[in-house]
Amino acid sequence: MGNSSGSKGIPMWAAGVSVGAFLLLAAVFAMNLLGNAPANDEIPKLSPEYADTATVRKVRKEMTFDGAPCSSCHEGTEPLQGDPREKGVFHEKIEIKHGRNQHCFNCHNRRQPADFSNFDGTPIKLADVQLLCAKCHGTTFRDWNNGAHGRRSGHWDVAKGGPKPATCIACHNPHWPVFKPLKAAPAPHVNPRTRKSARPGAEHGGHE
Amino acid sequence: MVQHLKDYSVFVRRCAAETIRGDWRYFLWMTALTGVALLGLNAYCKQFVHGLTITGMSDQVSWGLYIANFTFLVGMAAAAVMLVVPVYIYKDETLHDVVILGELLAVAVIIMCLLFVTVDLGRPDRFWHMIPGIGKFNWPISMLSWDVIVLNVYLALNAHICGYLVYMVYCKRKPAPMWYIPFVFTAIVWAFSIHTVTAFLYVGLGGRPYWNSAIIAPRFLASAFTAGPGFLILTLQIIRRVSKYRIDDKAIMMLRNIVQVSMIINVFLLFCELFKEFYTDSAHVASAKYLFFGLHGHHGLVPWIWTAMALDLVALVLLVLPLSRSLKYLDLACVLAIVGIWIEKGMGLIIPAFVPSPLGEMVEYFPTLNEWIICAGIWAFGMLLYTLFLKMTLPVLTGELTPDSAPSS
Amino acid sequence: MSEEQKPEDGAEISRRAFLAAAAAAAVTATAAALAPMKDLADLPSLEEFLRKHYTELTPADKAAIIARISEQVEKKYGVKPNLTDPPPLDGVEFGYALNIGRCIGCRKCVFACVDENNQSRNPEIQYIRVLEMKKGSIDVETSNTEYEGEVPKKDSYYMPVQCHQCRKAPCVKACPVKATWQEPDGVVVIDYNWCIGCRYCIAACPYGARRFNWQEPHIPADELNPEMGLLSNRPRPKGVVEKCHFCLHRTRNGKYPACVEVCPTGSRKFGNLLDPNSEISNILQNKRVYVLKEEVGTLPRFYYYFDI
Repeated sequence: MGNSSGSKGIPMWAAGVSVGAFLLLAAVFAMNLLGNAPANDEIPKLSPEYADTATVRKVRKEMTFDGAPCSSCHEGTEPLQGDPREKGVFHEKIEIKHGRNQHCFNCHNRRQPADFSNFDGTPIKLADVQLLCAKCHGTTFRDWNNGAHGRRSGHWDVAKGGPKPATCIACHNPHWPVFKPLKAAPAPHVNPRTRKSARPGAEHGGHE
Repeated sequence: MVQHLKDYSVFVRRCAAETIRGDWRYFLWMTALTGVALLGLNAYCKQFVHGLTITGMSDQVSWGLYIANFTFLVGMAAAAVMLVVPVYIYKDETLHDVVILGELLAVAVIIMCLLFVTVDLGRPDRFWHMIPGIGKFNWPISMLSWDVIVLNVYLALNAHICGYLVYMVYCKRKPAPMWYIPFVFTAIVWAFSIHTVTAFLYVGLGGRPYWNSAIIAPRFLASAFTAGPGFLILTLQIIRRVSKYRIDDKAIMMLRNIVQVSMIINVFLLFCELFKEFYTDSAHVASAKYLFFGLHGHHGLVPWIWTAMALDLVALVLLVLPLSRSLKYLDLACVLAIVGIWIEKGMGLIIPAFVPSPLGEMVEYFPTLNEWIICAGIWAFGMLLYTLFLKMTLPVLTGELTPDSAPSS
Repeated sequence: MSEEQKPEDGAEISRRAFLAAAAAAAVTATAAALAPMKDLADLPSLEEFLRKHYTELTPADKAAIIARISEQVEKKYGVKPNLTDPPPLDGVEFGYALNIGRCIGCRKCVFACVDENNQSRNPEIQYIRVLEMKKGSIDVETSNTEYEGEVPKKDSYYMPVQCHQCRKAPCVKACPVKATWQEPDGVVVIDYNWCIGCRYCIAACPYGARRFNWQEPHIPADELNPEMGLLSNRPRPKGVVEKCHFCLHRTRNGKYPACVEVCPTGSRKFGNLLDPNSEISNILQNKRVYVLKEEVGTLPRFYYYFDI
């Protein structure tokens, strides 16, 4: 090998810049001066009500009014007449918004107030209330039977027990069947770095 | 046999020794590149530890700056081989001396592409899942599997061709045609294929109408053959200045012709795309609208794309005019073209397809500082590699480094 | 040696000395650059690293993997999981129908899913996206996912979207390592230990159904669901893709998915397409049914229907 240091040296200042640059970088890295990504936004905790599988209405096992069974007032076997909403304190507060079905005894049984009434007056038990609704809502009843309408719990697999359809009144108030609006669960979190939310005040990750 | 290996190892050693010889300009350049590459390494370590959350990507815009750079660079790698076509197919010797320089660029650029893909992976520790035979490779159905094959083979092809030809020059031997001609012709076809396959990654997705257009592949190639030779025009002039390697102006002018024609085609195809989107004005135009005019109050990319359009047009005009025969204007045109195409292909092609999302969500993408640093680091590393390659091969090509030359001059 | 003296004319150091100094400084800088790696918490063990693809696992492999993951979950969350790997049922192909006339957009399905499937709370991952659509249009571009308050709102209807388990799934075509595939019962599953996180599948999905773990997922220990399936809701690592899988740890045991069970209006229907008496078959035969983005040709198993 010839001359070991080479014919050309490096100016001191250039050497200094080079070595200095590396050492400066080492310091920047060691002290993490360039930082990491910003921390995640706060996201409110999941409220358990939004994962609750209960139906919107609780279904009663028995027909009662204010806790008392119907027979405590209606003892006789004479068929009830007139409009119950004009009969005094017990039934006048009932509001009916059932489309054109404004007549109480279309559903309720005149002779057995604890039951409902079929077309021919024969009773329908509370436990079979879907037969009552089927009197007018035949197509819905058909769909409820074959699964296209209404909630089902249990199993899709018949071998494991099969589905258990929820009864009509588990979701629909018979006097006001239209499904009442629910409060929606919170919207997906919007990362303010990536989009402006369409909603005012939403950039702070919360909901009104 | 053993003697051959010994000679070759001497050659490798001497080439390596070249890389630590140079003047202060060389060392400062290498310091700067290494510094930026280290910044990139540091940023990547942070990404490796924390996850890709440190980028600006989201579920809606799941590809960003890394894939944008990857796409642009695959084009550059393909175009380096464009030099080969005139020399070997048309037997035009003008570009003969610069073929190797172009191939070396292709090697450095492909390595950059592979790095960009690696930094984009969520689980780079599982990269071995992609190795055919060892992992589970979804070839031929997945276009990404094709991309993995073609890119790696292209790297091997170019590395072999350069390595062999340079060694032959060093040994002052005539290269045996069998060892390089078939590879060269394969590389020509392969260059088209790498960029077509990369284009097909995007074209084959029916769920993204912005990409699902047959014109994407030709647009890719046209823009690649503009940016690649353009980059080479600039690089060759730098090489001319810092080394003793002689590069004729004729070579640069021939490259100018290539860039000129490719830019015309590129702009024409762009015009075709714009017509199809905006004249039809169907619901599928949403992404193009977002890109050019903003959509639903979001207009993050609008300034970028109009800048790219302006740069492209000015570059086109300059290239077409005889004015660009003067190197000053040619260099300007090349810079404008490269930047314009980088924007148009990267931010102008990748990002708009994600906005709006398939469900109509408007989520924009703003790369984070960490992402920019990683990108800069990979670019710096690629240029570092290319500088090293040139430092090793130019002395051989100028005849300074031969088996008989003194070890230090 | 790094102080920069004012250079006199021609002050030089030898190349060798410079190289030695610069190399030392560069190595120091490189070591410092790697400093963040000291925070690396969860390097995979060697057996985890070399683990084969799910479809190539022997029963012994699977048992070992289940044991290992159970142990990791217990260590991290303090909850002993019941991790199983239910196989697909014979003669079953799952189908899903959503009654678009009845959905009121309450998003309970979203949260029941998050609860059931151990999705990251922060960063937030939700498999189901509910779109508030303008009446008169099925153009998702005019939809809004950020609505809040009481639902349903006037002049809007609601369309939830989740993975449609497509028969010709673009994500299955796209994946370079076959980390996602369609099982015999129709569910498109992901092997979370095989996914390389390239996110090509997310680009390919026409329904925006897939989610990526951009960082280590965070689930509060008291909200962890210990009933887990290997291909479904076991906690996922950072850097992999996940999506709706029809709750296969439930459905392969005959139960309904969590979203079906929670829906207050009974808009969601699920069952075996191969059973002509199932509710899903009835719907497909008798109701007005359509699929989303049919022109893309994905042949989804997820149908939208309305009552007549």
